[in-house]
Amino acid sequence: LPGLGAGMIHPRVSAAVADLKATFGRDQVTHSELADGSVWVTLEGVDLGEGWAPRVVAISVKLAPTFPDTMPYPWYLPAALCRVDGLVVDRLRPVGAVEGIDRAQLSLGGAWSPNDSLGARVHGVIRWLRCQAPTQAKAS
Amino acid sequence: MRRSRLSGSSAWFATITRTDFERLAQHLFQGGREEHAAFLLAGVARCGRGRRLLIREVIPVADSDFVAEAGCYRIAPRATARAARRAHDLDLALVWAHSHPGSGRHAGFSAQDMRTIAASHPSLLDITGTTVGAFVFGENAVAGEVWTPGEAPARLGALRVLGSRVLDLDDGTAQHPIGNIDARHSRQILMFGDAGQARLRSLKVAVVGVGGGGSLIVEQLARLGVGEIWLIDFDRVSRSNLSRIVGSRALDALLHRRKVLVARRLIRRIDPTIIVRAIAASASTAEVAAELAHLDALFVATDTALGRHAANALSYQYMIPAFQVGAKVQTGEDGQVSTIHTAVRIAMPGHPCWHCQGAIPADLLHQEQLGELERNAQNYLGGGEDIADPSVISLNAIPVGVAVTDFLLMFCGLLPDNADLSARIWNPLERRAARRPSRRRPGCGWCDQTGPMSAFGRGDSWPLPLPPAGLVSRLTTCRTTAFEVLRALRSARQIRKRYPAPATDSE
Repeated sequence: LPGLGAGMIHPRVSAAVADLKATFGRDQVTHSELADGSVWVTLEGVDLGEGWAPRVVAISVKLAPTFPDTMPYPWYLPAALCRVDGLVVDRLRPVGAVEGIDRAQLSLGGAWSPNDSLGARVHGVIRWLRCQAPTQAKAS
Repeated sequence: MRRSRLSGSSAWFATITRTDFERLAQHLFQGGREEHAAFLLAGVARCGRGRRLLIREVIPVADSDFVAEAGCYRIAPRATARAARRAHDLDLALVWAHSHPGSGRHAGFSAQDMRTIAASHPSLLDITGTTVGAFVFGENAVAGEVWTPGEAPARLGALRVLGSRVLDLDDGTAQHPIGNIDARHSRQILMFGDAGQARLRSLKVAVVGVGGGGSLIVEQLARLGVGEIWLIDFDRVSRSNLSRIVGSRALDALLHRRKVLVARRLIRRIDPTIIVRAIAASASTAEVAAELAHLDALFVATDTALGRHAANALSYQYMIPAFQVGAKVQTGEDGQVSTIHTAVRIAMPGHPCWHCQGAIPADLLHQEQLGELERNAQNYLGGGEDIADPSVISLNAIPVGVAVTDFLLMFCGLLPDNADLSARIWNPLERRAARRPSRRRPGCGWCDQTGPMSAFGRGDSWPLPLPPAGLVSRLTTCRTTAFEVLRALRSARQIRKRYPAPATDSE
């Protein structure tokens, strides 16, 4: 059948991954296509700052087949990630094994336009995590 | 002027938007007897039956890009090289088009044209590595040849001009037999003529979602005499559907019969000569959507954002007009009806897409693709549960009548050329109709025609941005199983036991 492009990542997704690689460096970004047609993108070696343990993590995001008409979401972090002060961040929830590894899901949405840059959005997520001061978190 | 030496059995077809066609015609026919030329860059669709060129870009050839040679003019190699490079970079087919002013309703290549084609196409194929073609235009006709690597050259069957009037142009030599007109259509023929009826008979149309709204569309298309109807719905009939699905019966609900089978039965009762294809699967998957890429029009009566996204993708990537119908009843916290509105939206290449019309809410589109784990994690932050929306047959009928009429007037050539195709909203509580004009978002991946990241007219060269289906449940697998019959009979026995029929006097 036409239009299936078996084994071909959609050019708009490829362009977004290229944008991410241009923003963070080619070696830090990996991507692979999942069975559900989405693309799993991982940014390695992200420093979240002193407030988090572990401090340096990989951030992954699942780009739906409809990306960029839908925003990059959800974001995944290591399941063991926690605040060093023991406080809980609302939007970060352990979800069990995702792509073979226990992970926590960061439910961080916000306005998204198909013309937005994936690199800029990842910067925004990192900035958000770094800004999670204890006053913005609540006790478990 | 010569008739094409090529056979018509494996003809190519081409599609162009009205805006591009007008721009092309304006350039090709500038008054006087001088010929003019343009390059057309086109996506390629090789769908089940037929091959199509989807014209994405028109590049007029300036007068300064012609060179005189042996008493005639030809396009300068530098202009051809520029266009060929662009076609190669964008992975598009390259067509060179020129005019024969004064040829009116007939078009054909001259002997000189034939020599140029024979001399230039092999090297153009080599440069672009993709399909190349040559079109010659009369004022109201077009002829053409299409060359593809590794295949015999083939003629152009027709060029479809998409707009509020859908026009098919050919070389003027083709026969369009009207055929036997069925007396059942005699009254509507008084409106759009035998040719209009024959046009409807030649069309292949899909109805995505054959529930409340979709079944009304199916009935109207069948009674109008559309030649081939594709039915797509994964769902089965339930008792709550009986108030809305045209042609459904209590037994269908009892047997949980597939909705596509009920719709197929409806069509066969209306006109058994209509070709029906039923697919019991969701149209929101790449496999099913790809099956629809060769059709003439799509009707969308599904309330999922992914279903609309799929139809929108087909409409712009494969240049197929699509009509979406919807009816929404909103109730307040006290359960009282607060608003009712019904909507008809048209996705027409050359006009704003459904994303730009606001018909596909991005958050809903995303939500529908989340897995259970992801949804649960998100619901922790305040997600909602699915609840049944109100639905009433008479409300469904409002946009269906408008959409099918729009389709009819467009394909029978009765709408004016530049009719307003913006969304139509009808609010029954206020008895008020409204238009919802919209604009193309710059850089839109669907309707911004020439953007480098736009899927417009890409055809098969880009995958459809939809999840894969895995196994497509085709008609052969969607018949009611013996197990389902037994379950239904058991259920019927239980109902009879619980609610015995009252004794009558005669007994």
